[in-house]
Amino acid sequence: MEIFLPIAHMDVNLPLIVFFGAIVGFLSGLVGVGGGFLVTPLLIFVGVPPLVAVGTGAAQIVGTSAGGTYAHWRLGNVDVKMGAVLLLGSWSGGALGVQIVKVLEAGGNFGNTVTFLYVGLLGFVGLSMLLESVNALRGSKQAQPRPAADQSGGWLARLPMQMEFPVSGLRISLLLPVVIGIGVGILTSLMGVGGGFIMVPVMIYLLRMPTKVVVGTSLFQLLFTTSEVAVLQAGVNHAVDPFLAVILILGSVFGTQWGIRLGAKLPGEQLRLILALVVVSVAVKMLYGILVKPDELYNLALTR
Amino acid sequence: MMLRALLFLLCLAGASARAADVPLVTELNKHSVDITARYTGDRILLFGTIPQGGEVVVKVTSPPEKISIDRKESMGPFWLSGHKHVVEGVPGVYYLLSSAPLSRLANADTLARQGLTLDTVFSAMRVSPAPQHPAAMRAAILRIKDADKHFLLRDDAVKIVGGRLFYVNIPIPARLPLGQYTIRTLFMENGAVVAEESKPLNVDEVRLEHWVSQVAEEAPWTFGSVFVALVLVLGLGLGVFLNRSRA
Repeated sequence: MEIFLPIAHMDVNLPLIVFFGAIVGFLSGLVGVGGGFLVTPLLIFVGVPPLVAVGTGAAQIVGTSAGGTYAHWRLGNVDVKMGAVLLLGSWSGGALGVQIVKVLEAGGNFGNTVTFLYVGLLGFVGLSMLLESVNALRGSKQAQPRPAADQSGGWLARLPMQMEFPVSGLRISLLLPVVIGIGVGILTSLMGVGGGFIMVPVMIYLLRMPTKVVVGTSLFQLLFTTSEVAVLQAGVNHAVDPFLAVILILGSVFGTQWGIRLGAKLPGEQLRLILALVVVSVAVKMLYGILVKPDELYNLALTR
Repeated sequence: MMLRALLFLLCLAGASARAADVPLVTELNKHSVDITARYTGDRILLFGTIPQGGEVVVKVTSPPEKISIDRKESMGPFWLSGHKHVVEGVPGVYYLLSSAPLSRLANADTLARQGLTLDTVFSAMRVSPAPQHPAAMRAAILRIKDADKHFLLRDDAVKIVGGRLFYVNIPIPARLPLGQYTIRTLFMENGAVVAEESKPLNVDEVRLEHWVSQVAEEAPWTFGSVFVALVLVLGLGLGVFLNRSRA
């Protein structure tokens, strides 16, 4: 069953896109990662232009993270002040990123950039997950990498513009979350990811936020970052396909329910291993795509 | 549908057997193609009558498309997209369908003058920036468009029945430029064009699809803001609903 996408100007197989959405939702229900980093490469594999894949990816994350953010907010798990400071950074980063995308696309380099970013990101995320799950399956009780204790607190405490964050019980420099936010905002624009996989470890190890508010605040931050980036991608780059986004969201919302149920029954370590293998193979496929000489050197695409 | 049309034409051909002042009559089984979300390609039947003898050429041209073309270049171990060129003025769809090989119907000069060659697609082409290897780029455009079935050259597509009646099934691809297509039918005899007739075919998005792509193109900021707000509400609604039904 094919469906025509008005912005991507192409046909896609409807069940396949629902399936992609379901995979992403499944992952987030199962292991708590957003899975936005899988949507963009999968869409590119089926021929969606990288620009549309990235812009629609951001819009899809808005839909899939809204419910979770609301749930965490009601439970009081969102440090709104911290979230707002992070947003200050990520909205600036997002706006900057969208302009970078525009320049790269005009020069014909956006596809290459996306490929390299994804090979790097998925390779890194996939390999670290792989190592972690192999270690866990072996049963080796490796010491968890503890956050470098007091020496990092030293230079962080000396930064200017210290601010109180009562919900997290922290007093840190405003600059730190703003700078982190800028980086995440740029990634959202360039890759169509929410950045939870960066934000969560940063909050735990660098900002030392209490675990209780980490996921909620990260969701809060990425919900509003992806919202901003999706609006900008539509406005500046005409890169958001509404049909594609809605199909992905519907698939992922139901995939999430399925993931949560299955996650409660199945052994977590094996699932993490499978997920790691999926992520690594996507990275390998992308890398293979640029290492092997293509049959057709020229590439045609519709343009505006 | 097709059979009935043909029967009708056979009667028409019989009735107008001596009406030599109308040498070429053509008709389409439909005059527009509606692009909906479920559109995956279509087929148009062109049929008509010709005087006895001779052959038929049908040329289908879509409005020009603005495309970008890039060539993968070897950079170290990688094959990466090189410079991007914007190509304008080339029709998105271009078919030359005939009842016999074109080279047998007329000499090369006549074919070129009548625009009955594949090279005709490049007659209004503008490329910016100018390519280093224009010939290779043209060849690539022909190759890719041919593989996508957007450019077609078929010398057995037009069927002539009883010397007086002809029909051809025109495939309309799944992804195609919108606008008014021209279907030009030429009746050829003794190396020359004896008669010709043009019929327009409208290809347009309808209903929701049309509205969505128009709004997204003409008011991208409004579209982006409204769509993201809708997605937010959709996600929120589904999340709340599913949480409640699970609890």
